Amino acid sequence: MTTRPLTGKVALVTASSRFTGAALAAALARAGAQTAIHYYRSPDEAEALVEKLHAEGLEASAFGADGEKPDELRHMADEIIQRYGGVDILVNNLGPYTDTPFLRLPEAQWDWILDATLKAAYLLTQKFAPGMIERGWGRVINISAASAFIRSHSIHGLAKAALIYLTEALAVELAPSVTVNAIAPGQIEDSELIDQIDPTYKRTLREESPLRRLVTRQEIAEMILLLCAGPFMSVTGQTIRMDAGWTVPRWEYRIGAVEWKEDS
Amino acid sequence: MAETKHFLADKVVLITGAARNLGAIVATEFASHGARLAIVDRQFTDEAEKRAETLNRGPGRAAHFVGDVSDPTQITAVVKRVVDTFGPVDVLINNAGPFALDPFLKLRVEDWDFVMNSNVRAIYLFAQQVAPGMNERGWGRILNIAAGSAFLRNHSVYGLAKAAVMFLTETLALELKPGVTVNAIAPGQIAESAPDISAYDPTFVERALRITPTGRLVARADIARMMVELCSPAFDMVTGMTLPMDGGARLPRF
Repeated sequence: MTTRPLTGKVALVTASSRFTGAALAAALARAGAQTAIHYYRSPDEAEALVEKLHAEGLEASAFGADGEKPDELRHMADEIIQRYGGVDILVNNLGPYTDTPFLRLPEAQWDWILDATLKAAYLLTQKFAPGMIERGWGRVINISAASAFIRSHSIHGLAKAALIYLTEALAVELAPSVTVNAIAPGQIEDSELIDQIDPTYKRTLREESPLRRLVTRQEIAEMILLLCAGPFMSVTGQTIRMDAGWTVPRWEYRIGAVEWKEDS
Repeated sequence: MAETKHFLADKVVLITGAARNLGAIVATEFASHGARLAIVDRQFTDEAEKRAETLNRGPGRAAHFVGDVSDPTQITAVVKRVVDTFGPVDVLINNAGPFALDPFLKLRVEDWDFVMNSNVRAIYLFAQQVAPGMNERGWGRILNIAAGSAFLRNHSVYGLAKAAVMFLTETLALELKPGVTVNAIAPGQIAESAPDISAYDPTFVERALRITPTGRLVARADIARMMVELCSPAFDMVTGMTLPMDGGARLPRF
């Protein structure tokens, strides 16, 4: 028998019509949550995911909004509240990418990345957290990135680092009934977008990671379910790095590259 | 008389938010070492005009430039006017940093935008305007003002913005060429602003002093002197750093 620990809960995953977000939404639906799928440019994929989940006997529906526009986000939140009565598990997954250096970064891209990654998370939390507090339980889970811990991914890194700050600040503000945590994945194994840009990228990262592997979408999804479960009742304001150890600081001494001379 | 820092003679220093308070003191300190100060702010009082006149009678120069750093088109325009007046900028001091403390659940999106755009976006837009010239000439300093709030998690979007200032300080340090450094100062509560806070929290100063090993709050002059030092050759090998100036208040203890 399948257990559905999130039965009776409502979940929203932003940017969940495809890619990683879709895997996270599907996992929440399969855990029993009534799941809101958010899309912007891909309504067909969102509908296809909803139909697939319906076919499994699960509850899901799709909601569209431009993540850069506060009014559209608020309108979507109202639609979800109207349909499901509120959201108990908010997963802020929306986070577009660019690593254009700051000295060349167009201002419109700065606004786009920061608004979609950071401001959308704050605005949606503002809409859903009062209901969580009223019902006495809630989970806000922000999808940060390993880019937050390095300083060469431009505005994407800045936005993901700021998202960690927001995670900690909201953890203080929404306590005691709501926990706010973040997951910072490294490069995701089953994300194919990077392969078209650099086919060797994932192999290099695998070799550079102490665990010699990359995190999968399924692993991130399972972590989200764990963050909603009992052991995480006392955990808030934390960021879990799922990067196979890639961001652990280290520097290789290549023994043998220099000639060692014994004292005589 | 205090020692003159010759490395600042004739350097063009653009400082934002410097019509009054900390920025005005920093501008005065730099001018006293012979620098040419482009003082940017949204408006200038008579008192600010008088201060500029005084500076112009000393070893340095000062001129006022009206501009709102939350507005990208005004940043471009103001830099052009500064370069027309003084020539290319050698030292950029991003000091303008408006404040909002409302909890995130109540914070108006307009206040989010103003605080984030003035404190954070302005730094990168100013850097885009002046850093290529610093790279070409082989010397430059970008100095940012973070805050103790960056290390706390209950100062809302102000703390968030100041933490982002620290991040941007580190990334810009990577992007610039040798000879150009980017550093920040994170002051704790500034002594001269303490009376404003005491007006609505009479216990604030006493509580702050109790956790400050140096026994006093940081003064505007402390920060101004440190900003001058950060331009000195002693700091040629320091970049991407945020220097806390809080008298040790943030050191963990129980």
